[in-house]
Amino acid sequence: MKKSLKLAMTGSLLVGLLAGCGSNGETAGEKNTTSSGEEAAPVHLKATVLPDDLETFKTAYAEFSKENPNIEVEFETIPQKQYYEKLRMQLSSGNDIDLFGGNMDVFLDTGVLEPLDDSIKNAGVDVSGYGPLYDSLKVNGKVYGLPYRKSNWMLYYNKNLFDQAGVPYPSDDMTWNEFRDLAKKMTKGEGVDKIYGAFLQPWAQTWYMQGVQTGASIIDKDLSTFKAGLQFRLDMEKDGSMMGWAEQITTSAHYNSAFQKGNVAMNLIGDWHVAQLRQAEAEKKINFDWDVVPVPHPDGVAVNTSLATPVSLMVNSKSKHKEEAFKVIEFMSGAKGAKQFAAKGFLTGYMNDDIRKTYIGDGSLKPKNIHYFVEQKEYPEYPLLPGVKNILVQSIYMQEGELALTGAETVDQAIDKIGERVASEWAEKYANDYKAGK
Amino acid sequence: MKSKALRRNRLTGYTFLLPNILGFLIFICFPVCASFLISFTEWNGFGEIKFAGLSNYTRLWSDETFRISLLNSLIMTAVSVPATLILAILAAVALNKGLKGVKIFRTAIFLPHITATIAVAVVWQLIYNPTMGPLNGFLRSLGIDNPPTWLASTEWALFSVIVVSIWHSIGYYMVLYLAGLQGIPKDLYEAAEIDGAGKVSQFRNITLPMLSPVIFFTVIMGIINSFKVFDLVFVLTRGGPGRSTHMLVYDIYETAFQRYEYGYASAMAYVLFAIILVITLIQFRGQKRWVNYS
Repeated sequence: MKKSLKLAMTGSLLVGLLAGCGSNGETAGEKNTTSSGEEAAPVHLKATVLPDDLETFKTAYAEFSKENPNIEVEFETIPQKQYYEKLRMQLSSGNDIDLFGGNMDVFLDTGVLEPLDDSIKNAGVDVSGYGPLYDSLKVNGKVYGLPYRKSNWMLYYNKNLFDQAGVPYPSDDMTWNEFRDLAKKMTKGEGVDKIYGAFLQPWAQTWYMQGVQTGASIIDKDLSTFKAGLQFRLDMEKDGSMMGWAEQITTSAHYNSAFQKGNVAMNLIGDWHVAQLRQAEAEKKINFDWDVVPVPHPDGVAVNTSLATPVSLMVNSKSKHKEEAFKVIEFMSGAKGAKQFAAKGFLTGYMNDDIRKTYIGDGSLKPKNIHYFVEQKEYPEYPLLPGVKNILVQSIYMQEGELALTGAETVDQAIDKIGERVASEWAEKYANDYKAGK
Repeated sequence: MKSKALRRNRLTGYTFLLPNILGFLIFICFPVCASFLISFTEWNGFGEIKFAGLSNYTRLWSDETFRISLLNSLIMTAVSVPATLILAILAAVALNKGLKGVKIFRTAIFLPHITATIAVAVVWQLIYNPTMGPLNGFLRSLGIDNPPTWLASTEWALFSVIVVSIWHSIGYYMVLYLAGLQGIPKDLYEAAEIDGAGKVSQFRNITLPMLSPVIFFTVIMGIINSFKVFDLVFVLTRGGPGRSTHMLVYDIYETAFQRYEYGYASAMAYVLFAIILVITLIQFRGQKRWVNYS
């Protein structure tokens, strides 16, 4: 007992000395019960990551520690629903988290994000693998996180339903109007046996997407481009080819269970659905064949233009081991980490031919046309600025869109109202201080 | 001698109270005072706390979401409190008699109150389901072709939430009234009967006045609870559709924990506190006129 205590104390002292950050080694040495050995004592880092990514991080970390035996990382997670709320709380109360993952924009207003530009330059990181994402992630010209994966939108379809109906599969070059016609064609039956042509999750993204595909942004002053998408969703509901908004929210309808039930022909959702469907297949929960095609596009917009949300790793500016934390981030979001994530079916921020090949796989796993994911031209789903996700996407666009879809407002009224509210509830507060991109 | 014993007694007393008082000071008193100070600042939970004077309070005037939430909370209170209390009194009077199976009914009415709100909300979501729910199925069988979509309709959502909240809280108030009714001496009714008073007149002239202290208590608690409603809204509608069921506490939650404006959210909380305080003070003044403590 006494011996191990002594060991722990010398260990913590050593760590404190070697890390060169004063004598206050209490946090660093806390878990450092293994003897430090002859070489330098390991630096102990704490990382908090999203629950879905925890496993892959651990796998990638096994490889990382071969290269960096002196950096120990302890990965932790928080349930998805409270992830950002709790993580912010922990960071603000001075919890000794060294690095963490998530949507970067949520942390921009906190001052806890360490700018990484210098570290990237010093380490000579090859940022070309991130493509245009690298620049679009910059805020006020600075890099605050590196994307280890991203979520892109895609159209999933149930092959069996198309076969049964004798309708050709959706094409990879479909306008929204063609999509609407196809959905109508695929809709059949009534009540419990009804087959729906499409499922659009009741999120604002599924309608405002059409505007973003044309290059518009949801913080633009002129939002008239977004009218078409909202009207489109209303029309689809009127056609009866998809479940209406009202029914979706009152039944808590969910894209995953809806599509797995087997009565939805086409499902517009993100790349993470691949993993969900593969899992359902492994558990023998679904017995139909499925594939993907690019999301439909507005007239005059290039084929396979999609929306993407990067998920980044960031360094806590209060960390005592920023250098080591950056090494972890560099590895995880770089080529080696990306390969691990791609192998698990995640779309990665960093791309090269090797990772592309890993992501596509040997063809033994569905979907057959998974390659569409790595060929996309993508716009950010929303500008990565503070407050945009919570205030715009989840409240203003959601609430006013809902009013249009339940018939309490017209489409024009809803979009006008959104414009007013974006100005008074968001732009006044953030627009002057934060600019996205270079 | 005597004072020494008294002092020791006091010490023992306070020692027994200490755990509770400490808990109160740390978990209630401190946060309440701190949030009052925070309400005059701008703070996102990180870094420096900027003093903002009264700007958080003046901003409330032009905040549309706050105005909508305040109005919804007022409507909710104005409708649900009287409805809940009247129904609870009627239920209590009906179940105060030694009828057969009375215990089953009492349990049935009290049960919603002790059921988890989440479970309650899920069941009501099913009932309210516009296409498959039993409620609209019933209405359609009556020949109503286009029944409301309830929780998914801006006109009906608030009403639907109010109905659930009434159903959810009747049991609690009924139990309070039942206890009150047990305390009314039987001879009052006997005397009234001899004087030829009917059931209605007995209710008006004996039951209600004798019950008035309990009624006074339940009105105050009812109003406070109604302004405080959060979980029901959170699970049933998340304030939607649009902002049609946005309530004060829900707005405070969103402002603090989703928009990270702790100062502004604290200001909202203090406005809510002021509203409840004023209403309660008015009631305490008014009670002399109708509450009977004899």
